[in-house]
Amino acid sequence: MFFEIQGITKRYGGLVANSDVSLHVNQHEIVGLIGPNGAGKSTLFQIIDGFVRPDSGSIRFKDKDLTRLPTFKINKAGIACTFQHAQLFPQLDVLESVMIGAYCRTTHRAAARQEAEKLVAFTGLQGKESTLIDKLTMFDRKRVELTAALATRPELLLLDELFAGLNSTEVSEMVDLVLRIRREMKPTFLIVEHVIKVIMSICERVYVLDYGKIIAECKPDELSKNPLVVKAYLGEEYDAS
Amino acid sequence: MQSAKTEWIGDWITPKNLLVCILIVPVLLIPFFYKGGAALLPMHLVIMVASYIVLAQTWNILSGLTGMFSLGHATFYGLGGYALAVAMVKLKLNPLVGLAAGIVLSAFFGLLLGAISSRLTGFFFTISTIALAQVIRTIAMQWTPVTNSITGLKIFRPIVSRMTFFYLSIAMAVAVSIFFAYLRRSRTGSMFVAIRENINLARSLGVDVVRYKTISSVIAAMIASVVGSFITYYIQVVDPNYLSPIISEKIIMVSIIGGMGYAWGPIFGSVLILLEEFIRGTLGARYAPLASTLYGVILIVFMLFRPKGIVSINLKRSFGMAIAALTPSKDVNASVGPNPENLGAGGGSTLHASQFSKEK
Repeated sequence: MFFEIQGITKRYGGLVANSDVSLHVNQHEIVGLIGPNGAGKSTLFQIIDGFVRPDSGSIRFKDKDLTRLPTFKINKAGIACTFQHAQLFPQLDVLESVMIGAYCRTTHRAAARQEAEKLVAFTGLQGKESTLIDKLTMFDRKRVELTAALATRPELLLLDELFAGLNSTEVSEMVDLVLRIRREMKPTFLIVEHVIKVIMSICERVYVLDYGKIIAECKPDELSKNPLVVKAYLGEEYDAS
Repeated sequence: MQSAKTEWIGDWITPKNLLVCILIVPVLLIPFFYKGGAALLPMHLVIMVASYIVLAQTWNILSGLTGMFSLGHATFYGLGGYALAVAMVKLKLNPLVGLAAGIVLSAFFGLLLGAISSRLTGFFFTISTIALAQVIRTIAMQWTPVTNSITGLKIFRPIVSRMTFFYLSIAMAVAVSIFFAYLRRSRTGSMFVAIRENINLARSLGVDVVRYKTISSVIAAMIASVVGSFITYYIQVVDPNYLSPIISEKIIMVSIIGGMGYAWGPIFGSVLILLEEFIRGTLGARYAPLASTLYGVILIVFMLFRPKGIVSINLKRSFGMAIAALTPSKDVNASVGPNPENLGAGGGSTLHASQFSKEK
């Protein structure tokens, strides 16, 4: 199994953020993770990234147990992520931000720089290499974050609401970018997303999380036919027919 | 793409770097410029300024680059001083053994600080640096058989020409400043600033935060210790004042007013050290504490108007505004426009006054 999490449970006092969550991702797949606000999606991502320790359960990636590894080792194992609220180095420029990711895989400055320049051009940020992050638009910031994550050469990319806060033109550009990344670098994706258009257009399989539990696993176009999903999003009283 | 080497050299030949190279020549000639004993005071001033440049550079590595804000940097300075003095006075050893012992001891405490910082960040880390400094200072005051309490240790050494100290101190300041500039552009330096800028993002991009924090504090501690040993050997006495918070404050002041995180910061900021000596020289030792008051005022003024320090002042732009103000020119904007100016040290994130000034 390429990536598999089993029985992840995380409690905050009386609140159960994740309850016995199990899911798997096959290599080269794009898998979506959706659910209403507060369903525990971001908590699950933080657990996978190693920022939060689960109470129980295990995370396996290419037959390696990642469950209690520190974040930087999870990255070295081949998992990179972008955060729900774009996390960046505000006082650094675009190129150095990406180089920091590239330094994960090389110790040479020239090699890291070359890699960063290549990736910056790939994600359409060329010409902005020496712009400070502070001066960038939201769209560019998200692209820088994604580029820096790519620089660590991940085999599995976790994207936490990468498309949130973008206008529709930017969303389609970002979708193109993600598909281009997939075509040329062949990573696997696990995506948390609220923008249904994105889920529909790129995901091959979707998990639905509600109150910390996986309530459904299906193809994107089957989502609207699943009564549990409809109930989770729209409430008990809603009648789909 | 340029090769790494030409890129380096090209980046270093900037108007500012050349200007400083020219300015340093008369300083180097001070011993020959004055006749007889008259050179002793200016040489002493240069030695102190150069030493503070080195100390401030080490603080700059720890706090300016890595963002581990320390208020107890005098600890390492004092450890170096005491290690040298104890080795020479109590153990009758070669001063170089004392120097080495100071470096090892400081490295140990640097490691300790690194370990502390893996648990404590931000404000809490800062508090722990004050605590560590207090502990070391108390030991120096109370462990009388070894440290001779508040009297301190007086060392006896063969007579060494002040010129030796003079050139040695300048060499240290230049070497450590170049080291800082090099570090800032190296992989390690990028790891340091990544930690400063966003520790969680750094982690998720594969930066071993604890390791690099520790490297940063060990490097800073070891170099600061060398300065402590150097000054002790020069002044021939070490006492608990070496570990005093006032020393830490002066180091921080020099670094912040010059510009935190930039190689030029401590160099520009070190002018402040002259201020105290200048007051002592002109108004007498009784008025020397006046310097501390002035430091406070200067710090407040800088925090208000130039929080990024002297390095953020763009000379060309300031000149341009002065000229524009004095001459009734039609084309004012031409001389005032933003002027990219490489500071040599900032790497990619070079500061321009135009980016930070409030007046647009």
